[in-house]
Amino acid sequence: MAVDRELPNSLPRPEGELEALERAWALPKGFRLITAVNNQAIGIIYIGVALLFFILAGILGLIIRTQLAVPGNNLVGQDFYNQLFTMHGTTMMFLFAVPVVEALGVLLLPQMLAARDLPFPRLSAFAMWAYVVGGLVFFSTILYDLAPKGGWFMYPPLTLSEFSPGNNADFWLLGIGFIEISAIAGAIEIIVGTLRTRPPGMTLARMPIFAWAMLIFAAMIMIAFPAVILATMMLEIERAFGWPFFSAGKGGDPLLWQHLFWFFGHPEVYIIFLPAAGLVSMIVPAMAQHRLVGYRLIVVALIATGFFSFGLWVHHMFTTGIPSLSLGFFSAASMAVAIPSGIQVFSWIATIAAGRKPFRITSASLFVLGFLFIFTVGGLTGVMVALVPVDFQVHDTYFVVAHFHYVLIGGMVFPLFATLYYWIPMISRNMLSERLGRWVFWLMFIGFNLAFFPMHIAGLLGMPRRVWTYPGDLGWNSYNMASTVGAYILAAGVALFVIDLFRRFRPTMSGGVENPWSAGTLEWLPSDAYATRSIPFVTSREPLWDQPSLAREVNEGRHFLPGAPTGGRETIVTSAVDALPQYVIRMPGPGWSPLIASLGMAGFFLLLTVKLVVPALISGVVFIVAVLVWAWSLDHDANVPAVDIGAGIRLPVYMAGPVSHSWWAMTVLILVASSLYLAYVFSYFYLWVVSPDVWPPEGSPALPHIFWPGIIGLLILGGTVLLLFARRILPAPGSTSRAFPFVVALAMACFLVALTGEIWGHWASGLRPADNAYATMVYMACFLNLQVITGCVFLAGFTIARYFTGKLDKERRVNFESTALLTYYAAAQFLLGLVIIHVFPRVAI
Amino acid sequence: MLEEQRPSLAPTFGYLMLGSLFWAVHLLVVYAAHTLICALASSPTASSLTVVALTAILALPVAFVLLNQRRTGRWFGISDELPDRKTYDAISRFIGLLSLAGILWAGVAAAIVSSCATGR
Ligand code: HEM
Ligand SMILES: [Cu+2]
Repeated sequence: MAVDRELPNSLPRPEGELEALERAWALPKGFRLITAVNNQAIGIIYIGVALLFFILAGILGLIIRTQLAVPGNNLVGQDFYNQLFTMHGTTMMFLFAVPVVEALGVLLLPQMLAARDLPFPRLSAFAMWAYVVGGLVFFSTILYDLAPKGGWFMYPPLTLSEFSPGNNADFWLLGIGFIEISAIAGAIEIIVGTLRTRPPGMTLARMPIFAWAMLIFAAMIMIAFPAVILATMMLEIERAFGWPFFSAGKGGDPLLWQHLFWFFGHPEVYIIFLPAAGLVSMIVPAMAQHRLVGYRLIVVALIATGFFSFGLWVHHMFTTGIPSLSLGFFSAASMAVAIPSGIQVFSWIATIAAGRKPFRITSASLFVLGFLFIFTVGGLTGVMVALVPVDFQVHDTYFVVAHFHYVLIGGMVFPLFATLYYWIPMISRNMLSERLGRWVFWLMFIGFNLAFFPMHIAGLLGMPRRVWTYPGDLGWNSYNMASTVGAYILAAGVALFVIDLFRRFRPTMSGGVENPWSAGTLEWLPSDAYATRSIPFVTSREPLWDQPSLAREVNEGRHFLPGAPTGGRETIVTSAVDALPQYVIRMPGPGWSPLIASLGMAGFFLLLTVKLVVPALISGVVFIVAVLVWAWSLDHDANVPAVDIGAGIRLPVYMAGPVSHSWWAMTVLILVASSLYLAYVFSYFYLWVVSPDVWPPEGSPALPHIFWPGIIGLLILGGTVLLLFARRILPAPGSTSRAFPFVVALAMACFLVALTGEIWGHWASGLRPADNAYATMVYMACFLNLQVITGCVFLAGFTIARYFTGKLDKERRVNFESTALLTYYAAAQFLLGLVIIHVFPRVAI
Repeated sequence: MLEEQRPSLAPTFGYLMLGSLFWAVHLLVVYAAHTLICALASSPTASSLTVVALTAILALPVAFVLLNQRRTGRWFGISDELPDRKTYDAISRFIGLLSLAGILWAGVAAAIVSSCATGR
């Protein structure tokens, strides 16, 4: 055959190569399946649970609609109604929308990148189990009348303990805490995965759009989630210990919560929408059998949306009394964000129009078309509410409820259903029924519009949201009845889908339907538990269209890394921009530790919430032990010879320092920590602008003498220098360096002493955290430093233990590198904090 | 390919997102500056003027980059020979255009609304 190009590996493949691959990647059997870490297995459970939450929250939505069907109804009481809409909104946003997207990332990304797995398989498992356990416990509070009732954005002062006694609100804070942790773990995984485990040749410019979307999704999580993490920490601390962050009487400000929440909450909407748009950008070309028109413009749109979405948060606060010029900025930005979304819509339409054959109408494409229609309507009402005077009028009415369901259901639920119809064949022996699919679509489409369109009118007629019932003489009755009927039709569509799912979905890793849509991207290569037999060399954006023999070549093992040369799980790590192979990463197989760690973590927080301290501590210990066991096995022996992946390329199988994936993960984590700290810095200055009167010297005890922070700063610098020195005395492989563990320990001691000194200094000046907003901010800085330093101390202890067991040296030094990176960051954060806390009040006017 | 000619991540993304970074800085400084000026000095004129000045200061570099796209690209390590150069240039250019529009669009608000009056 003339087409036999030069391929990385030649035929025949050596005996036993395939078997080694199979052995390395085999799924555990029987009940041990729950210890699996393969991305396909994790991904399927993850999506399944997210869909379960969609259904559960949808049932709450139906109860809400049933209650509102007729005026003066008393199916549910007022208090329970408050729980219903709070849980409905919270579950939909935090337990369904974000997790399902992460789940799709876990399932689809490695397949689209032809990687054998994501770089941290156990982290995905941990994120998934933490979500399952935390989510189920959180959701079950609705059954015991313990559910939060402050609305999904939980504004203080309503949610402070004076006005929301009991544990209900704490469960919200806790449940969300879980999802935050799990989302961030997922984001780290996704960033490092898309940037570093692409197949050789897949440069940034050749990445599938979904990978771009997920990259931006994860970056947005990194910046947005820390704001709400800080806010939830502060609210919980205020509820538990009375630190007045949000109490105006002591210089706090409830609006601070709104700023922090919406700085997260608005991007959240795009965090949900961008991946969905990315999926649509994959489905449309396959159905049109034409390359995506305007690939570059779509990337532009994704990046621009990512940025612009952070400039909009104040539009949720138009009615709170903000200077009108600010309103102008945020109104302008809210309209500007429509442009990138518009670009995408036009690209899809152009792709549909450009196909030489007519656009194939399948269930997936119906859902895409439905999405285009509904989302565009939601976008139009979005531009309406971005106009400040319109918002004044419709704020907190059903018009807003209609608007955001149009964007959320249109922008993410419809694409999700398209996704399920489109990608289920990849992981199932059967496709879903196309015939039933039409029914599902039309029921959902008609039901949706019937349910939510009338809400616009009810809202314009003045019907407020979050009311448990209404009088019958306001002209709202027929709109509400229509909405309720529509909601049931929508639910019927979903139910039909679920029935079909049970009938036809038969999960498999090897027997999926072969490229049923003749798509051009790598996830449709024949695959198994080990993903593809060999990792393709990619030269374009739609490799399967441009290299018709690719599937055969890959399956014959003629591309890269056709076996398991170290005998374990491996995949290729490539450079971030141009995707040149750099090294082979060895990955862990199935294990109990992520599962147990997530249970321990769940136990710790839950038991703490209901104030069972001792069992909580025991759970905490379980968590730590599980994490230690898990981490211990991660850093492999460095003395393994390089392996041949094909085309004469030999790659090392151990990597430390800036090229390694663990260094990248730590960097991402540090970026998360710095966003958290920046949110804190914002809060500090915000409260100062609001109530400068509680700042020293007038409002609070004088600060410790400037000498004091000077010494503390020197200690921090000293600790950092010690760690720099420790790097130089790392022992050579096989030898020892007696000073090393002491230097590391001493460095940590410096940090701990500095922190204690800082706290003591303020305490001795007579300042107590519950005094006023200034005091809370001072001690909050200490608390944030404590968190990071605790992390450093744990890592340092781990490093020292590795040293004493002979598993740490100049070559094998990943653990040390992570410790050092985090500690440098801790020093920077601490020093910045010293300047803000000790210098700023002295120079402020 | 020679090691030193290879593009690395931070400069590449910096180049792609250059315009939006300016946009972000603009939003941050105009919002912070005018809130502070209104809160501390309560001078609408000073506030509006600051906003206009900051808008001009941040719009100029974006415009400059748009006029010197290729040179900027080289400066960020995207060499002329890089196979995907055109894609990167195009992305960076469109992001720049959108961001320039965004900066001016937000800045115009200063000309239309009175600066410190409370919006409700
Ligand atoms: C299954 C169909 C759905 C129905 C019938 C439904 C119904 C409703 C209704 C009637 C409300 C207003 C409650 C009130 O203000 O008193 C509401 C609120 C809300 N819904 Fe939905 N919804 C559905 C799906 C979704 C989805 C898919 C999402 C998000 C992805 C979502 C997110 C929200 C949020 C965030 C709120 C605000 C809750 C609050 O006010 O705190 N809903 N829903
Ligand atoms: Cu918003």
